[in-house]
Amino acid sequence: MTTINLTDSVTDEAPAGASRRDDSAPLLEIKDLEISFTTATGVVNAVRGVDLTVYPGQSVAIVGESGSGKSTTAHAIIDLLPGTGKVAGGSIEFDGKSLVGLNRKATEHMRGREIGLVPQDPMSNLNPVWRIGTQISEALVANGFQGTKAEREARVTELLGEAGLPDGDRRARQYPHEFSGGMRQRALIAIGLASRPKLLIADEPTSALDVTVQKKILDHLEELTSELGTAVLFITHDLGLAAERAEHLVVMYKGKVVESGPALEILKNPQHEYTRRLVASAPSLASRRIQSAHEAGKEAAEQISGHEVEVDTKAPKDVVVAKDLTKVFKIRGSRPGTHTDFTAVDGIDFVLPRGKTLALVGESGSGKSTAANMVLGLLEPTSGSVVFDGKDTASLSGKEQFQMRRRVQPVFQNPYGSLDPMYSVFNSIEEPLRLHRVGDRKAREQRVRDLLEMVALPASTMQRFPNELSGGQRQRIAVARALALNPEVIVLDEAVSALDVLVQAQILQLLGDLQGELGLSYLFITHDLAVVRQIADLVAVMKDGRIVEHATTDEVFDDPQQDYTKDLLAAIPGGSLEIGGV
Amino acid sequence: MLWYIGRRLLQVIPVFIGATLLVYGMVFLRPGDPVAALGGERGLPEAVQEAIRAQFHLNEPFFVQYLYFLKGIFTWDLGPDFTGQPVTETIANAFPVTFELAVMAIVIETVFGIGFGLIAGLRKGKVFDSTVLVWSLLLIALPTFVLGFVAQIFLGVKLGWLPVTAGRDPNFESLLMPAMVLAGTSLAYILRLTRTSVAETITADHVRTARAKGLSRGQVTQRHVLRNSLIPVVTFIGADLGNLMAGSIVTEGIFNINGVGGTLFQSIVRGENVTVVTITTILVLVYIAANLIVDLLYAVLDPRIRYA
Repeated sequence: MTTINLTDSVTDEAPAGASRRDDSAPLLEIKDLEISFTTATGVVNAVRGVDLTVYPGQSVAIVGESGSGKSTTAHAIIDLLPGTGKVAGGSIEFDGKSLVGLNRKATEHMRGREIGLVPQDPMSNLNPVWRIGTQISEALVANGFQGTKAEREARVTELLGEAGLPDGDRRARQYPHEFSGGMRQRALIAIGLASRPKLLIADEPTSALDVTVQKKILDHLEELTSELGTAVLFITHDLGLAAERAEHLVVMYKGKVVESGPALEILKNPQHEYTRRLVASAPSLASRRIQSAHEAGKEAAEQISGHEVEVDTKAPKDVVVAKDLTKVFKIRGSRPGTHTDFTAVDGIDFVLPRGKTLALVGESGSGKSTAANMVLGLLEPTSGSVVFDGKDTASLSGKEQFQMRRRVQPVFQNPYGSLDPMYSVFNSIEEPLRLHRVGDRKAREQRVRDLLEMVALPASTMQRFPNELSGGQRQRIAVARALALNPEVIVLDEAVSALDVLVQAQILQLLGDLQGELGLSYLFITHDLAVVRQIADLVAVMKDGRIVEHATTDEVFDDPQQDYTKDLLAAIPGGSLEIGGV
Repeated sequence: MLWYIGRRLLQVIPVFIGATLLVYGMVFLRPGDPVAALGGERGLPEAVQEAIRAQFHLNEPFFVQYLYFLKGIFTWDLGPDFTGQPVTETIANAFPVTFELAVMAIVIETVFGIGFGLIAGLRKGKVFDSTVLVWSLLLIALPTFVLGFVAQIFLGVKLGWLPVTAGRDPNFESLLMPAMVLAGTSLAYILRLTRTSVAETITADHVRTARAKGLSRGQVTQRHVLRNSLIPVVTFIGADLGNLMAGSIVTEGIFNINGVGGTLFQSIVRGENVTVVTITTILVLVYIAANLIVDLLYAVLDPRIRYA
């Protein structure tokens, strides 16, 4: 894609001095960029000497983990650095003009018209109080759209259609909260491309979406930008996605570019140590079940879990069995006393064998988290039953239920939300022990120390608070807290979905090791099939509250029976690429 | 939506009965005999006192008195008070001036509170912000009578810009100073609420998106910051409307205004039970109406809120 096609442009009046250049001249050229933030403790250099070039019509991806400076670099281009951030050195040239130190008017003129942005989180990036159409049309007006109100509305409809939202007339009159995440992201793409910019910055445009939706939207974006001749700068943490969508990769680590070059070349032959680790830990179809210590299995578990309930040899082989499990939510109707039923989980059956991992896979809204909450005893099934260790949980008395809780523990998705910010790490891990009156204070402290060691954190972490820890460290704390009571089953509800690939790989490894050591059984809830391959023995694929496919992991991956499962597999980013071969 | 408003209006009935019964009960149980106090030091002759008690049904049991009151309310004929002036007239005289004052105060505190709060929130940590914060703290800390007298001395006496007191039949100009004094404290609260809310909204993702679209700074502020920041402010203003309608004994006293606050105070002192209960009931209804308006305004400001 090397030609600039501006015939479709509605604002084809480039400011003076920016004559259209030939293809050999870069559209965006960043040289030796330095960005610093002033904090209470001093100046932090978030970006240190970054070079980056984007040619007209080219697609470039910046890949890196959170904190690598990739988003900061992107935001510096359109002068939207948060807080105290400022460009401390280097140059950003766009279409022959310098963007650093541009005055406010010129910056506002450049935004939207020359460089568009598709932001990261579709849930928070649309203003909830304005209609979708209004939010698109104000972008048109701000960027010099001349025309009557009717023409503008027609254009909005056209843009929505272009972004993959047919029925644009009606959509334009709706509010963001009436849209799904995917639809909102499409609206944001329509806004980003509304004034036909020459460069589109796509900042993790789909990381908050389900894989199948992600694939559709990225396909669409690719088609649209190549049709319009727009250059795209992707910002992503997902190497597979980057390689699949961009011609050129730039790998960033701790504020520096560690490697850049053609996408496939980097994947096949990574030079830098960090890139190699990134390639190795990228979850993809090629990855295999984490085996470490797994075979050691149950005997070890019986020895180690010492004061825990003796593992009964006569105990049922399947620790959790869900039979015809159903959950119906009543949604309050418009008049008092009326309601409609919403069946979130519709008669599902699954089996979690002792010491194994069962993955419940599905998109958002498939009912997988509802099922998990019923297993945890946090929601009461409308009908059907959860049989835990041979006993129907519905028949348990309050006291027995309390006892059961200690044998089934959760780890939730958001490590920022699931730890109480006012509790120190010690308090967080000790709380379940205190609640269940395990040992005296001294014994409990020792136990917390042991648990931290188990999750590979130093004992000094005890005095710290969640806000001082990284996402990966917090998730380790959450795992330690779940382990505190020596549970038999751990329900992991999207436990690694919010983490960067490298951290994700570490936590998966940790979970694999712990399973081997302690003989734990995992119920693993996720939307990410690539992760499933690494951790699960069995897979149950959920769709609209039902289980559509339930088999071993290898069967599901090598020989999927259902079309829906095949779609899910095909949507894994980078699935077609040979990466991850360690 | 209509169903929602209808349901909210139906709630007025139990609130009305409960409020009147409660207030009437409290006034009834009050120690002291207003009739005996009518004659001052010497007291009235026993026979006259008896006649007055009969005229005002004061010898009847509590519920009979209460029913007389209800009848009076619904026919809007509450009879005379001890001075012979009809109760309805006293009330009808008190409310317009208080209403006028309340509306003026609301306008002042809304315009200046939101205006200054917006600028302070946009320039958090800068000189304007710090200055305005200190001033607002001062406004909150100063008792109304201090503020009132200071305003009278400077604006009224020294500068001669505004009339010092309002007096009987006040016009717009003479109510301006009392309205400013009345608005003072609330203005400071609105300012602080707006400032906090705005400072939070400008860091929102959707505001960044709006800027990335190429909107000018003014457009971003007006369309994407201000409206999203107003919900907590509207809540406060709604509650304040109720407070202002109850009048202010202090402000009305300082500026010699014959409003609801002063009338209520006098009626309590003189034991004019019917006047006290009627005014209180009207105020309860005003509160209910103000709350309903606030709730409906929420839905206007934020389309995610819908009433059914």
